[in-house]
Amino acid sequence: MAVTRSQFWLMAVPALSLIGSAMTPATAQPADLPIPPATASEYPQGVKIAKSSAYNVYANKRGLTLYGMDMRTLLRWNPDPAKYCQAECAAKWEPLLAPKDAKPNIMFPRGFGERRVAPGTPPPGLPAGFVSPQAAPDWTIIDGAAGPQWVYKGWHMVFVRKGSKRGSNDLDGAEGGTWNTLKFVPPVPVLTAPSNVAALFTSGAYALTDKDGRVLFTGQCDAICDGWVPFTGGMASRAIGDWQINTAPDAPQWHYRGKAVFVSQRDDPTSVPAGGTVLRP
Amino acid sequence: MTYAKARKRNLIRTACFLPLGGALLAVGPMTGVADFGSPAIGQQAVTKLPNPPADGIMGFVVEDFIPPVIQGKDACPEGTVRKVRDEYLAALPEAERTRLMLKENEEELVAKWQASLFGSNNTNICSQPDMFTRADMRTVQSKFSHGLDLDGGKSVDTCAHEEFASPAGVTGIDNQEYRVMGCTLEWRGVDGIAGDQAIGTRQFHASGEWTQVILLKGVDSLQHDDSVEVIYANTPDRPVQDSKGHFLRGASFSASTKLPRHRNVLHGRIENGVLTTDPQDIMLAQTWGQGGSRDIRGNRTKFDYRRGKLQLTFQPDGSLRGMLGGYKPVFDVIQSPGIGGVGSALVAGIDCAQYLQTLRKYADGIRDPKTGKCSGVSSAMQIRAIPAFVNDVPAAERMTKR
Repeated sequence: MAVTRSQFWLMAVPALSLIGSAMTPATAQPADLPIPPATASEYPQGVKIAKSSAYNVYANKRGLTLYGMDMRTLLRWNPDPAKYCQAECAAKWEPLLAPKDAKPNIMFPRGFGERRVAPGTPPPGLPAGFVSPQAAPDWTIIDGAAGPQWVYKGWHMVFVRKGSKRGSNDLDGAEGGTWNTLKFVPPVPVLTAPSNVAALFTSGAYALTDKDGRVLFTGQCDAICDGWVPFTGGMASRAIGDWQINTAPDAPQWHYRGKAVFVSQRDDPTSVPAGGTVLRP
Repeated sequence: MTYAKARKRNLIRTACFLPLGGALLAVGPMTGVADFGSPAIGQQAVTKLPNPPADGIMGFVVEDFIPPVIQGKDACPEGTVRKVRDEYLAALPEAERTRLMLKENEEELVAKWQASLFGSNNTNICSQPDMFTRADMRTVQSKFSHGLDLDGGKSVDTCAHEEFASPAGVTGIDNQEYRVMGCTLEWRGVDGIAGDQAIGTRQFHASGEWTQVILLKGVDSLQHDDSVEVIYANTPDRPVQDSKGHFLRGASFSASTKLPRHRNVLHGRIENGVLTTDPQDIMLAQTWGQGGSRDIRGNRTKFDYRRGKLQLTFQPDGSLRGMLGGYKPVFDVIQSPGIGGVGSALVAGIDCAQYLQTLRKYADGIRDPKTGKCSGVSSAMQIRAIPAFVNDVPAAERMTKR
């Protein structure tokens, strides 16, 4: 069935956004979306990591959970969402301010929202010294409603809920996903491993997986070895780092530090059979 | 103020049993009533129904979830809603309009109508529709609409509105969303052909993004049953389709409560082969480009039907046909072009501000008890569901949910 022009636009705009997100993965903090790992080991002054039941979160010096105000959800209310939190919002949320003399280095993109002076006029580029939210490092500074304010992962202006208690994450996802706790996932480890080995953050630590996200494990199976599927390599595979290839079996199998490696086949790909030990970097 | 409630009651009793031919005659000159269902959707009982399974459990996957549009020129006698370019021209004095429409002035015209989509401080009519004032748009002039009677003849917590009659003659139909949106090209399409919305929603259901399942429990009879549990939920499982894009019957699906999916537990009863659920809030997945790098509102949208209810008729072929009705927050109606931003106006010609303003004018539900103002419109979606095996969310998992 033919797709009309308007239908294309209705469907295409969000779809294009999705493509963009795939190219710059996981910049979101909402719990139902992938949580991007931290890339920085230094935080704004006073910010620390606090333990939480489901996720570790960033907290301020008083131990109060930091929340990110996702600017993307607020475009309807203000063409510059960085200025959104005033009046009623400011009465509830305390911004994590940068030093007063700090120079902002990020701004909410104008893009489609830029007023067109004349047809065909391209939107102005970023001012010198600014980065786009898509390419932002973990911590940047934006010109907020109360002055220079910290931003996490490009989109999340950082606040503390006034009157909250230490360890409280109650408002995670509040107001339609506008307010989300700033969840901390450690930086991805650098691997020296076969090319189809990756690292997955699960159960509070990184585990090694195959390219499909199934955890790798070693160990000794008991009498019944169902589920102990060898992690195979190619005939031409070569040893790398702590990994060696054993070509003796019918299919070459990877060994890690001398132990045969298997790959989980379970419905929960992060679990392993009894007797198995998850490989961790 | 609601209209003709007392008269409606009497008409319902008789109209429910009108044969199809009689119903069409009652509609009069309307043509092309619907290309995907009976004009008495969800309101006419069928006579020959099989017995339900011995365990009383029946599963369905929703194949059609479509804003019901009644085609015919009586609905929009002045034509469909003007696109932003035409709206701009229409507001001009005739001489200026004539001048700008000359080919040599095309560039000037484009510059001017596009500039009209932007406001101060980088606002535009689709990203910040609240910040613009527009003329009202063309609305449906016909007295007929599909939908459900949501207020039951009472105006206690609704706002003034005119009611429709269904093509079968049932009066008291509440569907202000159709009144406002029913003349847009996205809804109406080229006359007689389903519009963009119909095509788009079908695609979203086929893709697994919005796919819905219905699970009935405790069904003793398809003709009469005083108490049926109805699980109306989303599933992450993508339907298998045949070469023409129809869902295959008897496929397996699992209900899911993992966001953005929802699971609604409703109570219903079957009367004369029609399943009707008690009014309660119903939420279902509606994702638009979730996780996008520019705007993630899509991930947060949902079908949000306040005081929603299902009215579904069992069909001899084992399928269900009918309606989901309820009151919808007005902004939800324009979520898609709103997320699209000014591109929705520049490319698709949609005036989101005009839509929102008109929706607010005709809002008839979700009334604020303090101000008396309504922020929602009555709405209906046409449903066709086919038999499927539906595995409910495990009990242990449900216990951990709110």
